[in-house]
Amino acid sequence: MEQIISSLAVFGSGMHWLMLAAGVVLGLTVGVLPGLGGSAGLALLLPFIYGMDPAPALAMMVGLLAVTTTSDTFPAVLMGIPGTVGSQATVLDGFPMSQRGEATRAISAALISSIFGGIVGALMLSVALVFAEPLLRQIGFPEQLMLIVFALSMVGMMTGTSYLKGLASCGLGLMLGAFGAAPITGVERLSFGTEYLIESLPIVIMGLGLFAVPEIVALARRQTTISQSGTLNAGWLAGARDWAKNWWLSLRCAAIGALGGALPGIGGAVIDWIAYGHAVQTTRNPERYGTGDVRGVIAPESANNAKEGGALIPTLIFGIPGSGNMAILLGGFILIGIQPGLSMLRDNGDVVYSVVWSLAIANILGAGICLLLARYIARITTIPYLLIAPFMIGLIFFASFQATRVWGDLFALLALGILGVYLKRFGWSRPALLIGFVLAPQIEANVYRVSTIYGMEMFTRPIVLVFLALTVISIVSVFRNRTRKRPAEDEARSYSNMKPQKSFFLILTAFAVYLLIEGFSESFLTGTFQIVAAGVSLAFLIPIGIFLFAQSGTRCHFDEEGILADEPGAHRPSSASGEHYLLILAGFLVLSGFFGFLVGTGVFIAAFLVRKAQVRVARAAASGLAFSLFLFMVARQLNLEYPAGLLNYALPLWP
Amino acid sequence: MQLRNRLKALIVTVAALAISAPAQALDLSGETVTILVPFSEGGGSDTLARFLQPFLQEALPGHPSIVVLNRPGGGSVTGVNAWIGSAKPDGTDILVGSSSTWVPFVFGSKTVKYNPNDMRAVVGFPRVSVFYTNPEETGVTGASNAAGVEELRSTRLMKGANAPLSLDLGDLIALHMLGIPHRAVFGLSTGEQRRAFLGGELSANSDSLSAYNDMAKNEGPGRVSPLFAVGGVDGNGKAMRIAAHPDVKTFVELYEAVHGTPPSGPEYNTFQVMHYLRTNLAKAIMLPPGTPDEIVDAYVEAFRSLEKNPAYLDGMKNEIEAQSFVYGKDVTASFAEASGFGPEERAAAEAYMRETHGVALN
Repeated sequence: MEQIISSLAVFGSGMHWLMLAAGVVLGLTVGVLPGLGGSAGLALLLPFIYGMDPAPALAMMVGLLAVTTTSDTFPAVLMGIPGTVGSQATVLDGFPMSQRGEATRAISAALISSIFGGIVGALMLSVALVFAEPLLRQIGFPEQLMLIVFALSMVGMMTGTSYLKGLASCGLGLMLGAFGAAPITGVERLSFGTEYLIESLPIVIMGLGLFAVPEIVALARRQTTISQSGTLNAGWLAGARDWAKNWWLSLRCAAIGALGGALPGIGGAVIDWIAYGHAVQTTRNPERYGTGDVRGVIAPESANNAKEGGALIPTLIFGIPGSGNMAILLGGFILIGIQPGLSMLRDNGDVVYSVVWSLAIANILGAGICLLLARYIARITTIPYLLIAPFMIGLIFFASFQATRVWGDLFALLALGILGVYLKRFGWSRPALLIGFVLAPQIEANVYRVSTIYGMEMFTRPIVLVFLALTVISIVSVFRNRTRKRPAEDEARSYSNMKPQKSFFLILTAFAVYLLIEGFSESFLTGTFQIVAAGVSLAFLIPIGIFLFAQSGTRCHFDEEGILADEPGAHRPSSASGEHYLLILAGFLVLSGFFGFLVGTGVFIAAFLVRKAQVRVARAAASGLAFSLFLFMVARQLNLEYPAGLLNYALPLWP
Repeated sequence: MQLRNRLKALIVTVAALAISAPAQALDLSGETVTILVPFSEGGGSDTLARFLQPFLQEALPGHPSIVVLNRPGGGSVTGVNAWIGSAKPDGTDILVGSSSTWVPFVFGSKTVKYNPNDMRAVVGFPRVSVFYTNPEETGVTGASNAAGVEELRSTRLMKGANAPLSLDLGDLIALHMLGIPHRAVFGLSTGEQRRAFLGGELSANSDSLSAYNDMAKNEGPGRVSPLFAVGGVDGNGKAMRIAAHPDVKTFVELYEAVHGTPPSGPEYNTFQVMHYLRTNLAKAIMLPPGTPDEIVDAYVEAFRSLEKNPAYLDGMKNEIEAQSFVYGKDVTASFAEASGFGPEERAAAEAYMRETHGVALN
C-alpha cells in the first residue's frame, strides 16, 4: 500500500506528465492507422528510450501501449475497417450505427467504455500484483484448453440465422487456421510451395478481408454516404447515456478482458469476441446484435482496454510476456535497466506501481483526446462514399501490408476479401469463422499437450471444472435463445436463382474434402488437425447441402442479391455488381504491380475518383498525390519498404 | 616506349592505391546503413538491432545514419531470402542473423535460398544457457554429476521442445545419451516452456543464463537444480563451462563422468551442431556474400572499438545476454562446424524421435 502511494510521487514532476502525454499522442496516432499497433509504436520509441531515466521512459511506453486500442475505434466504427485485432468485434455493431447516422454516439459510448475498461484493468493489475502469483501458477495446459473450449462455445451466439451454416463457418475458420507451419511439429503444412504460407494467415488481414472489404464493396455499390441519412443524428451525450445505462455490462466485460489478458494461451484476439458473445448471451433480445446495438460496441471496447492491464500481470510477475505488445514492452524494460520478474516486484515496487498509475492516467488522457476529436472525425460518415472509397481501399491494402510486409499480404487481402464478400452475400457467419480461425492453433496445440501430459487426469483440477461449468452454461443459453421467436424478416424465403449459393456451397465443400484427403498424406502430429477440422466442417456441410439441394425455403437458403432482385423497390438498376468492385480491387494490385505500391496507390485513387466519382482530373490527381505523399511520410517515419512494381525494377530512382 | 611509360604510370597508380586503400577503404559519410531484421518489431533480433543503432553510428567510419528494416515472415527465412538477392556488398546493408535463420539451412529446408557459409561474418554474440530440473518433481538434488544422473535414470523427465526438428533437439538428444528417461512435449515456445516449468507441468527446462539466474534466485534450490551448462565452444571445439557457475559441468564432462569415455558418433555430432547454433551463432551480424575484405575488416574494427565503451558492454551483457564477442573468421569457422548435420546424423535423429517419442522428424 505504501508503495502504491509513494509511486504517485513521480507524477509530481512535469517531465513525467510530458512523457506520458507524448506516449499517448504517439499511441493514438499509430492506433488510428489501420494495421499499425502498439508494437510498431513501441519499436519507434525504443531507440529514444535507451539511456533515459526509468520512470519517464516507462510512462512513455505504457502511455503508448494503453491507448492504441482506444483510437483504433475510429476506423472500426466510422468506416468498418478493423485496423487492429482488438477492434474486430467492435465493427459488428459500431459500423451499422454509423450507417444509421449515429457515429458520434457509437464513438463516445466506445470511448467511455475504453476509459472504464482501462481503469478496471489497471485496478485489477494493482490488486493482482499482490496475490495473483500462486493463482497464475495453477493455470496449466488443461486450464488453457478449457478456456479455449469455453471461447469456442461463444460461436453458438454468433451463428446468424442458420445454426448449421454458423457452425460450418466456424469449421471453415478452423480449416483456414490449419494453414502454415504445424504448431506441434513445425512442419510446413498446406503451403503449396509458397514462401508466404509457411506462416499462418495474418489475423489482421483476415479481419480486413472478412469485414472491411465486403462493407467497402456494399457501400460503393449503394453510392450514398456511410450515414444513410447523410447526417449525424445523435451526439456524444447520447453515447454517454448509453454507457451509463449499461455500466454493469461494461464492468463484466472489463473483468473478462482483464482476466483473459492475464491468462496464458488464449491470445488477445479472442477476448473481445468472448466479451461480445457474453453480451449477446445475457440479453433478452439477442437478435438486435449485429444490426447496430450500442451494447455490441460497449462490450468489446470495455474488454479490449482492460486487456492490456491484464496482460501486464504475467509480464510483470514472471517476466513472461502476456501478448505481442508485452513482448516488446519487456524489451523496453530491459533497455532501461529493469529486469521484470518476481525480483522486480520485491526490489522495485514503486516502479511497478508507477506503471499501474501510468496505465490508468493514459487511458483517461487518450480517450479524452479522442472524445474531443470525435465529433469532427465522425463527419466523414456524411461524405459521399464514392469520394472516400478509393482512400479506404488504399488504407486497407496499406494495413494488410503491415502484417508481413511482402506482396503476399496484398494478394491475401484480395483473396480473403473475395471470400468475405460471398460469405456475406450468402449468409455465412463471418464472426464464427474468425473465432474458429483464431482458436485453431490453440486447440491443436493444447489438445496435444494435455493428452501428452495429463490425459483424463485433467478433470481432477478445480479450475478446469469451473471452466467446464461455464461452458455448459454458455451452451445451455444458446439453446434457450434458440427457442425464442425470431423476427419475421429473418424468415426463410425462396429464391428464383439458386445457382450462386449452390456453387459457393460446392466450393466450400470441395475445399473441405481436399483438406481432409491431403491431411492423410502428412505425419500424425502434423496432419491430424486438418483432418479433424475438415471432418467437423463436412459434418455440418452435408446437412446444409441436403437442405440446399433437396428443399426450398429453409433457413439454409440465403442470398442478398436474391433479396435485392426479388423485392420491388429494392432493385437499383444503376448499381454495379459486387464482382465489378472486386475487379476494381484486383485493379489496385495491377497498378501497384506496375508502378509499385507507393505510386500505384496514388494512381489508383486518382483514376477511381475520375471514373467513379466524376471528380475533375486535376483535383483527383492532387488527391492521389497527397495520399502517396502521406504513405511516403509514414514509410519514412517507420522505415518501411513498400512492395515494388515493374517500374521500380526498370528505373533505379523510381520511388 | 609509350607502352612502357603507360605501364610505369599504371604500376605507380596501383601502388599508390594499394598504399592508400586501407586508410579510406570504407567511408560511409552521408550514407545510410540498413540493418535488416528478418522478424517483426520486438523480440531478440529487433532489440539487438535497435540497441546497436546509436553505437554503430558512432563507431562506423563516416558516421552514417543507421536504420532498422523489419521484414518478418517464414520464421526469418522470407526476409533473409529477399536480403540475399538485394543487399549491396558495399557495407550499406547488414543483417542480424540468428539461430532461427541458420537452423532451416542446417536442416536442409527447401525454402532457404541462402548459405550462411557464403555470407561475410562480422561479429557473433554468443549466448549461454543452463539445463535444469525440478527436484520437487524428480526428487533428485545436486544432479550435475554421475550420481545425480544415476538417480535421474529412475525418473522420467518432462521437457518442452519447439518442434521435433528444432534447436531443442540438442537438449533432448543429450538426455538420450545420458540414458535419462524423458518425454518431450512439442510445440512450446521458450516462454511457454518456462511457464510450464514454473507451474510444475514440465520437470526439466533449458534457459538463457539470465533467465536461469532469475529463476534459481526466486524458486530456490528446492525447485531448480542445474544438470549441465551449455556454454560457448572455444577455438579448439571444446565446450566451455559458464564462468558464473563453475561447478556446473558441461554436457561433455557429464557424459564422461557417467560413461567413462568422451561422447562420439552421429548423435553427439547432432548435439554439437545444435550447441554451435545455440551458443556461438545465436546472434550474428553479417554482410552479404561478395563484400570485399576491406569492408568486412572495417566493420570488425568498428565492433572491436565498441568493446571500450562501458555502456555498450553493459547493455550487451544484460540485455543481449552476450557473454563474449567472436569476430570475423572465428564466426565463419563456427558456421563450418555447425553445418555437420549430414545424412547419418539425420538418420540417428529420426530413429531417436521415432523410438523415444513416437513422432516423425518432419
